[in-house]
Amino acid sequence: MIRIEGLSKRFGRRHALRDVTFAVPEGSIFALIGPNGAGKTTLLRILMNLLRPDSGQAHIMGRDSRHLGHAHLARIGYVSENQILPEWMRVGGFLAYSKEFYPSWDAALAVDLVREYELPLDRRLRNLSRGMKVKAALTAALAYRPSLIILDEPFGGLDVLVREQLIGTILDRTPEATVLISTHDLAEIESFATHAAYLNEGRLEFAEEMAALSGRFREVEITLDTPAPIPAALPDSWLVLEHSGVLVRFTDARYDPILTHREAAIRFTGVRDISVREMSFRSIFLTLAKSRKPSCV
Amino acid sequence: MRLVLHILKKDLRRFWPAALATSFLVAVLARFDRWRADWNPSPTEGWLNLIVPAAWACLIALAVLEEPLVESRHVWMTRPYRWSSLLAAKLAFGLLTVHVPLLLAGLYVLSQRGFSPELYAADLLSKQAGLFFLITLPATGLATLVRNFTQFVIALFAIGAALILFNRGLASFPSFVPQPSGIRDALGFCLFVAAALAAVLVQYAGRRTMAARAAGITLAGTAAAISAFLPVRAEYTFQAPPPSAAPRLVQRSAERDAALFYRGRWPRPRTVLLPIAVEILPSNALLQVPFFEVEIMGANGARIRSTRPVRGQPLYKMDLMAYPMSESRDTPPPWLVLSFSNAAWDRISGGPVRIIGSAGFQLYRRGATTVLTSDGSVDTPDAGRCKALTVDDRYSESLLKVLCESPRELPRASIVLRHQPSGRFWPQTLNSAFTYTSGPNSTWLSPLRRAQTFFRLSDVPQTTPGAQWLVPPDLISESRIEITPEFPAGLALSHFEFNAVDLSPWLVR
Repeated sequence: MIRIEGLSKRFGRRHALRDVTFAVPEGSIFALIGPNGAGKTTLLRILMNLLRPDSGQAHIMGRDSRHLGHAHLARIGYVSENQILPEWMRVGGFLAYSKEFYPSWDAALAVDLVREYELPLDRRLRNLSRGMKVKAALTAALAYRPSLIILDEPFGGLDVLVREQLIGTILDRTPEATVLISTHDLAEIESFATHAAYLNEGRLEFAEEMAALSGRFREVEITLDTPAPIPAALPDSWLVLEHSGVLVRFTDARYDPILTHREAAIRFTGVRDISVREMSFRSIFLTLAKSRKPSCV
Repeated sequence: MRLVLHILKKDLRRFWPAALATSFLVAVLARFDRWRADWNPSPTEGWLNLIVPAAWACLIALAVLEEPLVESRHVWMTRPYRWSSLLAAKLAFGLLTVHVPLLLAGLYVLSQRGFSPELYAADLLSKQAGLFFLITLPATGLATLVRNFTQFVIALFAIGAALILFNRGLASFPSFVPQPSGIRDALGFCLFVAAALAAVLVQYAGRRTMAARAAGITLAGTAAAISAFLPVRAEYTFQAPPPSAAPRLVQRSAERDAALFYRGRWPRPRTVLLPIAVEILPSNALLQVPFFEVEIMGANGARIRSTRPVRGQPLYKMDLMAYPMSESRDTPPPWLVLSFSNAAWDRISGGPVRIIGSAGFQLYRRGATTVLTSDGSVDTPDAGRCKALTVDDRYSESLLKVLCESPRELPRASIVLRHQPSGRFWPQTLNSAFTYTSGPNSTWLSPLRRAQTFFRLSDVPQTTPGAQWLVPPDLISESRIEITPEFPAGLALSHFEFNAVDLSPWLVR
């Protein structure tokens, strides 16, 4: 659905994106995660042809993003946290105005969404709360049943109930759509994302299925017989290594039961015990955020 | 088309109060215009001729900025707009809120002033086309380059200030010898339109803001530079007649006494009247010399170039002013006036001098003469409808005023008041007389062009100096007014060189 190759973008001296390459499979719910300033919004804006890349390409539905035409845009639903809406319009007018641009507009779905979100059709957008504005924007972006839904941190600042409601409608109402959602809030996507990509300082650290991701990250704790110094050379995949007396703790980003144990035995003498724990997606994200080894994963 | 109407309806719903307000201003302007029987507008009408275009520009900008092309966070950017539909909707908005009201106002003014709207429909439409290229398109172009309305207003003020600066202020007197400006105007206009068009197309088709800004600023800057700095010579170069038909400036022999007739009438310390003649002038042609420059080289090697008077520049700071002086507008100038400062005169007065220079001629041919009674009205074939009426000036002195108005361009015209029984006549030209008004006095939104002149009525005895210009009121009823349009027939630039000229005998002050 989306293919990104060697995408780079600079704003002055600052690199917003550096040679980013990944693909979003059709039908997936793809979470683009990373700390603030990682380049997520820049990437999505390039995908929507709101920005031009300095180098590289992004293809959406087989089309170079720089040449997205109205036929393509008619199949993409885009909602961004900092989107400017025509605030002078009433909610009903906004939806009616949007409707004319989409041949596939599903009036029944729009009515359902309005009812579900309890949108006041006669109120002007400028008089709505942030949550209600997001709901109005989402209604206008979902009612034509887009093939691709791109959400740029849409739920920031919303309470948990509203988030759950919005996520629920996206999944329920457009089950056939591919969803690309950017966020720095892991709790928001852990329950439903099928894929994830992690951006940090413009670099892509990884992009893979959630199942594979949680499968290869493990928290490893080695207990030694006697306190020993940390060897100078350690595998790149060992992140955030901590050492206290006989205990050595780290996160292995390429965990393999046999290889990890063998590496531990080679690096340390007198290994008494090795314990391995699965990690939550939140823990993986925090480890990556703390780690300064971009090439390790 | 469906989307164009859809976007247009949305814009009209959003901005109908503003559109109504600008249309009201247009109606007020039309009301002023309908009652005006003078070349000069009232201060209110003069200001409205500036305010209304500014209001239009703002209205168009508001509509364009509903879907801003620079601000990429706006929701419309991710909606499937066709750029051609969006642009067409914005232009249609301009058409409905700017052009239709002005067209209706034009029809109203024409019909109220006694002109057939059907007959002049093409003129009204061509005026609308001009307005489109001068206001609608540039305002659209500018609005596509800015982020919001505040930026647009700042840019509008900056452009307005630059225009005022280039035009040396808002108030202006009509120029008695206007410089030809056909090439300058055409080039400036084309580049200005190209700047607006480039901005509009680049932004709507591709949203390349930096490229659009660069193209727009470069082209508009070039247009401004050409308007401000294109040498007057260029007009003559591009519109030159064949050499055989070009007039030539030469020295002529004359009695010194003829020059001394003008002795002592000059404001400058040292003034020389040199006898000249214009050769190879097509028969029946009239000419003016709007452009003239000389360089004088003294026997001691000193060189002085003439400079043209500029508003605000004191005469005493100019070393040399040079211009040909006519005794009648029907004959070529017989004298070349060289007016020196004391210092400049001292530098070159030691012996014979060499004078080289260029003269730009504007040639005219006469049209058919139409006769008008001193209290009547007449439709002339080329100078529109002319009317004579007796009015009082601000000092309660009587004037016979001749006002011509037409939906078409008014040519220069000679207006002669002739009293057949006595054989006396008083010559004037259209727009040779005016009343001063402060503030803007352009009426470019009017569907009518107006021009006028006055004859001062007075019983002062004819022996009084200067009384030859005064018309005895008792002669008016038996006098006729002859109106003869004069059409531009070409431009010519003539270079001349006078060697070993002794200026001293021709010194008249």
